[in-house]
Amino acid sequence: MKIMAHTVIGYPTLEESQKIVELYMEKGFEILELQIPFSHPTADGSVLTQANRVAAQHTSTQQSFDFLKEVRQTAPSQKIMVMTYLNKLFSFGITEFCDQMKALEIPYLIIPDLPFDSPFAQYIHDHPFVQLVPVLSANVTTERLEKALENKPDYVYLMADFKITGTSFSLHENLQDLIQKIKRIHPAQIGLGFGIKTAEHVQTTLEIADFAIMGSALTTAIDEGKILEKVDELKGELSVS
Amino acid sequence: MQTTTETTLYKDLILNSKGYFGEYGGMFIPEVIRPNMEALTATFEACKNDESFIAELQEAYRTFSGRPTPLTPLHNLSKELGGAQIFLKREGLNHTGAHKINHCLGQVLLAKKQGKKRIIAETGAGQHGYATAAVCARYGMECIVYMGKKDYERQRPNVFWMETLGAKVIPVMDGSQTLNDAVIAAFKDLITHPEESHYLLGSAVGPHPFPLLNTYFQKIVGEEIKEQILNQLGQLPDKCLACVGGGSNALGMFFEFLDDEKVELIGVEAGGKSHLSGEHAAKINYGKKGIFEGYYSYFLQDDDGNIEPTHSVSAGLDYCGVSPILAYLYDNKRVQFTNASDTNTLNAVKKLAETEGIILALESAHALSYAIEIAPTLDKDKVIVVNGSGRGEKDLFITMSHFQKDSLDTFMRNHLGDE
Repeated sequence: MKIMAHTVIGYPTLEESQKIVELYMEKGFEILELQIPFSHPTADGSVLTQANRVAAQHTSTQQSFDFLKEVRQTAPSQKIMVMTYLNKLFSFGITEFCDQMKALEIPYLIIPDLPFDSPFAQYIHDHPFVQLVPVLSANVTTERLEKALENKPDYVYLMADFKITGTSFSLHENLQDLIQKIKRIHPAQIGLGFGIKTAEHVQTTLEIADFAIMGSALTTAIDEGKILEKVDELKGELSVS
Repeated sequence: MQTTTETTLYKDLILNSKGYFGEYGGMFIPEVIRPNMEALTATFEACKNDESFIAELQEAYRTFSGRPTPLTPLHNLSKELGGAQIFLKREGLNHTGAHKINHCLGQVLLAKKQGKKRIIAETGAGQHGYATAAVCARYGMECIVYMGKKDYERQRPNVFWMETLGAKVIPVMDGSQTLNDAVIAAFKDLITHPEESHYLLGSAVGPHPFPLLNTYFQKIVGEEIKEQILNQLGQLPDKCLACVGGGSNALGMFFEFLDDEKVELIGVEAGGKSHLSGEHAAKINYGKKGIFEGYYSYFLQDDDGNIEPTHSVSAGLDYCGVSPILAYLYDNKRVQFTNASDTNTLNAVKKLAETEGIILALESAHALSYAIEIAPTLDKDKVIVVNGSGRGEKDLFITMSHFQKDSLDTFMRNHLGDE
């Protein structure tokens, strides 16, 4: 499935999130976005804020890396991106954080509150292995876009609309133009997220992007005890079309 | 003698900064709100030296807020303590009861310049929300105030006043349902309505340009103090004391004196119940460097980079971060920091009421508490100015439950019994 499935490491527990990740891999989500929990996730909606809050109480950054190590051992070729907030990296040590990612052969890092041209981002750009996945939206200026693509990222994460995670789904009218513009400058793979809940949303997204990003909808299914059904439903509906 | 040319000229350095103060500050925000922050920065840069903008702001300070506020000599208290002369800058006499209105007026004028019609604000206890609601009503702006659910419930009278002023107050159900969650909710609102909204952030914190522009709109406090003390005594103060939560009133007071190196500038943080984690809100005293809510500064956080809960008897200081400008001035030893406990603060409120007939906000009473502590150790020719950033009537239930718990309980029982 051309979906990047997001989950918070340690939510609801480390053990259960291990099972969730195994399920996602078994069902064939192309990419996993695994979030190292932070007590106050400023760019996440209610569902993921709550998940972060719970997970952060029993999952440290080091425990998250240990978790990732186990995932990596079971699935050496699984595409994985790590997502977290800047203070978690800063507290751990940015270079040390990147070194741990290299040891796990995970090159992709998503930090929504780290501008790609800030001094702290430079530590990541200077790292020989890890690359920052820029998170952009339809209101990005050409100047900022060109700057974001200067580092030649393999992936770009686009916000579907002016939304926070887990709210309703819509595609901003300028997105198609923006994606064409990105591809003209640099051939990055485009992931599109924020508000994607159903197979229909995924299909709409895939008309303009390379893959769809699902987060809150999956965590909501976890909360409702229906994650297996949710994944099967997505898989069923997407394989039919 | 050292001349001023050999020392750092902090005022110029801060006013002309591009968002970093030493290593602190910055604009650590999702890319989606960068256009807002850049447009706001550009508008501010254009306005800060524009005479017509400044004249409009001065007029609003004067005719809407009631500036200038007096500088009151505390003769009785000073005499009783037997040391330095203490003066109180009466920011609590501003409209809506505190210094907050200074930057609310400044920011609403910037929003007007940008053609924005929708103002978003966060509030903890409700004071900043109250001031924001008042200026929005005055300038015909839609006003949305985010307030943590817990604060919304325990500060119901302020919610009522904000609503009376036409604001829509939204309780935030996320997280710990307090100020941090309200800040995050306000940023999320900006993410979802970036084009039509201005986020009227309530302290000298947050991403660039907020620390800078709130300092700029608050610096009137120190400018007035300097003029008033020179008129009254013909000398500068020896020490300026201000409480520090985020830092807006402290920077408002300190800014004008930054290049007067003989004036000692002292920030007083919320010492709370103890120095243990979760029992205070003293960031510079006990925090660590970090990046949160858009800026790099000192934060109360655990060893893993998670933000820790805070406590203070005063809601206005009950916050996890501190202005990057104060972090910079602390590292450069231009501003010193200490803290005052909840108990000493409450006692300072009572002392001032009894000796001078003034009821001070709990926030500002932290600074007064430290003045009471040091005044007796100083000579009588020394001058201390305390920033009385707010008035204390808003703290009725907290101070009353401390000093007259039984009569508060009786009142509440009788009041509820009437219904």
